[in-house]
Amino acid sequence: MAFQFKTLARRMALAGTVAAVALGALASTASAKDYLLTGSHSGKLFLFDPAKRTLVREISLPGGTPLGVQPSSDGKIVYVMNDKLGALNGVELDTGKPVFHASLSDGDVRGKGFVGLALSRDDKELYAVVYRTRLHKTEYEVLQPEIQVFSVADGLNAKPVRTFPVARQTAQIHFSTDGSKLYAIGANVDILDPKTGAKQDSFPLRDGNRPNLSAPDMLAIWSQHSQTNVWTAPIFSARTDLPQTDPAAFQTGIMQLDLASGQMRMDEFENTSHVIFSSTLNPANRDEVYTVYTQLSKVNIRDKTLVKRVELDHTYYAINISADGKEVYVGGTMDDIAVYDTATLSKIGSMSLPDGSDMAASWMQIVKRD
Amino acid sequence: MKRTVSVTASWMVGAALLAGASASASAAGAAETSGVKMIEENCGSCHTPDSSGKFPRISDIRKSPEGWDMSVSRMQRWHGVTVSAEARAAIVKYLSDTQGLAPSESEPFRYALEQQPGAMENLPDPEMVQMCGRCHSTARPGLQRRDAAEWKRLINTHVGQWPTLEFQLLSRDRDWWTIATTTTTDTLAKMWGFKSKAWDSWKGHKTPDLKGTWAVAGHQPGKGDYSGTMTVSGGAGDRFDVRYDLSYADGSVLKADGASVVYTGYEWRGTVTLNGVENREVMTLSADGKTLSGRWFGSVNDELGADVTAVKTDGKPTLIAAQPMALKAGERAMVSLVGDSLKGAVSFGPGVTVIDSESKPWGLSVVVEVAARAAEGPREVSVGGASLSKGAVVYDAVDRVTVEPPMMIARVGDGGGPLPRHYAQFEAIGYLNGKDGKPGTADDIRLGALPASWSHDNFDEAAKELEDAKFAGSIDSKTGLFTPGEAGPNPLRAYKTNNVGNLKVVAQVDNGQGKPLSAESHLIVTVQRWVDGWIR
Repeated sequence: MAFQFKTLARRMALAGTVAAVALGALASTASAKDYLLTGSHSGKLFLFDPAKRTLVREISLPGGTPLGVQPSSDGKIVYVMNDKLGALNGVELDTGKPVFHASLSDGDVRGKGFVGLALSRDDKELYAVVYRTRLHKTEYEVLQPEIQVFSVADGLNAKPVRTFPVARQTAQIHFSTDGSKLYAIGANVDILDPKTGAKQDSFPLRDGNRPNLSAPDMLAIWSQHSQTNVWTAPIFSARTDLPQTDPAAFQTGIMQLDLASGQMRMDEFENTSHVIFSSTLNPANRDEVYTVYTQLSKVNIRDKTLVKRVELDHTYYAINISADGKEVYVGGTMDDIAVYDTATLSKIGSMSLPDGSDMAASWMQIVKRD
Repeated sequence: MKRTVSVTASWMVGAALLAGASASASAAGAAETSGVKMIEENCGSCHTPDSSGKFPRISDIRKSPEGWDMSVSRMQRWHGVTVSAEARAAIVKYLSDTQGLAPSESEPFRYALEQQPGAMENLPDPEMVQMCGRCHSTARPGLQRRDAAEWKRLINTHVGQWPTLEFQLLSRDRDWWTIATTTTTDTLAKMWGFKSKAWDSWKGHKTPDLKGTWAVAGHQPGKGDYSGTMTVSGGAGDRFDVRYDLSYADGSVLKADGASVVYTGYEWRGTVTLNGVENREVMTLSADGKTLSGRWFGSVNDELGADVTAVKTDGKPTLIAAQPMALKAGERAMVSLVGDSLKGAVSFGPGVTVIDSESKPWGLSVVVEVAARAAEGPREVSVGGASLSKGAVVYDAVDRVTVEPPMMIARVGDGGGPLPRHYAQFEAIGYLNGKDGKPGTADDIRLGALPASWSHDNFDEAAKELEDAKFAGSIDSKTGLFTPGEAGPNPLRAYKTNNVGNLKVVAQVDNGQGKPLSAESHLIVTVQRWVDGWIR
């Protein structure tokens, strides 16, 4: 019971913060700066000024809890996958006004998304991986998943302008920086033509053949790589040449997909000892990757070594980083975002969701705004 | 109390209502007509009967009563079907009777129907473990019968309803969809196909007349043996009213009224309120209609309950239990002999003298004196023409103890959350080593539950570091009941983690001669079960 009272007291204190925030407008400065954007189980988006450790905006979403959260490159519009993963919604970040809606279902075909959500580099088209099931009168028929492409200009009643089939188990999708390629992360990484869906190439994961290593098990849930345009994800592999009792029998690594160069690589850096959910490359030092779950870890991925690991006060799913690489932000899971110094991995600040709701698996993005 | 399967929470009540409403419809034919009519009216707009009268999908499946009820519940939750409690009960009854499972088909999976705590499965096929067993008990598919095409439709239902399934651990490392719709469906159809000889010969079996008095014996972990009578009345529509008059070995008395429905001619499902707590009964009726056996357990806390055996007192001498089973050499004991028509000479074999005997509604209460030098070992107990092989055991000293269940799960709950906590009840079971004098061999002799002193501790170093024993709950030192902690993140713990824990539970027992014996069980205290059903 004691901690319920504590929670209540904290929520009351935070309610004061919300009131203060509601009075202030989003700070407008001369140059683009970083804001931190995430969603929560209360069906809201929260925008923080991480430098000031303050909440600057809170938006109620149509469709409830978001999983994928994707801001436009100008930071004006935010698109989310929500409505029990059955719809895409877009809102203006300044006003909270709904500007885009698309159901993923059509007639007797029920469509559900998951973590496959990406905005074209020109901000004009929204791509979603959709898992489809035809609901017959007395049975379900599972259909081929597809990528549905929406024109954001179609507004609140958008229908796909194009669709193309995609491999089963495709999780995430990411655009190359020049917009000419769409990387579909699944059993393997398929490189698709975003206009036609035609497969141009494939980077093998399950179908790969790395010496003495099993296919990697990759946790590809979070898409929050805008600071570097290098998508990273934790990978876990088994050594095929060692008995399971060997300390080195299971390896933890990082997958990197450089969306500018198209280079993909996987580097194991330690014997598996801790769970990792998400990771981020340091824009100021691309040898460094930071990973998070119940520990925050700093990895030198060029040397393939763990540099430092610190215990966190609770589990965090999501991670992002400041443009200068000096601060990492760990969020997701519960209702607070912690700020850590990348040099020392010491905690230097925190921000809380005023309504006390959980961020759960919501993506935590950097939004650049003037 | 809000249970996860909220729509299913009242099915037995519904069944009772229906049975009451149809009490005048005595002919089985009328029940069948009513069942078909209910399906037509409630399900027919989608499951439109074909020219042969078959309902698409429905007619191609056989299931347990629980399985059928879960299907109706899904139609309600997934597709917004409105079905009254009466109609739901009638549909489940009709389908269980006409497309149910034979006793031999459900027998391997009684543990799941009875919600036996700590039940462990020996899974038949490693691939099945990965494809199905990572979410379900084997009992879940094992209590269904379909052909390959119908199993494949079920796979489609799975992925259609839970598209993220293909991304889970043990899915994302393989082409799950292809395997599931080929190898897995073929395996399922081979193991649990729609047609069977067992069902062909059982189908149409009518519920015998169960009216009358039954002698009841059972054991409730944490509380002890109990015995008494069960008076059954009614019977129209296979619905029965039941009055229990039971007493425990500790002298406490339990009287209660209940109601039950018998499905498929042998599946007894009842509800009874015991000491203010609603309990469910899942019992199976022997083919001759003479014996009911199974378990009763809390409707909410299904981990708390008791095994039960009941025999109809129809004049055929039958002995079902001697309580207590273990008789200590050199001591006098009062023993309840439970059964039907227990008249005549009582024998426990050499060295055990019956010095008093009193007739009871459930059998005989006898006082025995066990000679100090009476031979250790199992004894056949007989009363007149009735006997029970290994019905009693004479012992001088307990050789060893085990804790049952050897591994158990408790779940955090309450604390302002929507789900209650789930407890863990342990018992210390004594054994004799048997003729070979070695523990853990086939000739060991079970003595039953013994009084114990209970404690719990961290299971390993990791648990110690996170102080699991401090946070995960507490055990009653006398009863062996473990109460897990409250649900929700605990700010007092490292990582603010839930009150989960990895524990060992320790029992200390006196061997009967002042020597302490101890044994351990492994207890995992984990998070709530958010998705639940009659068959897990």
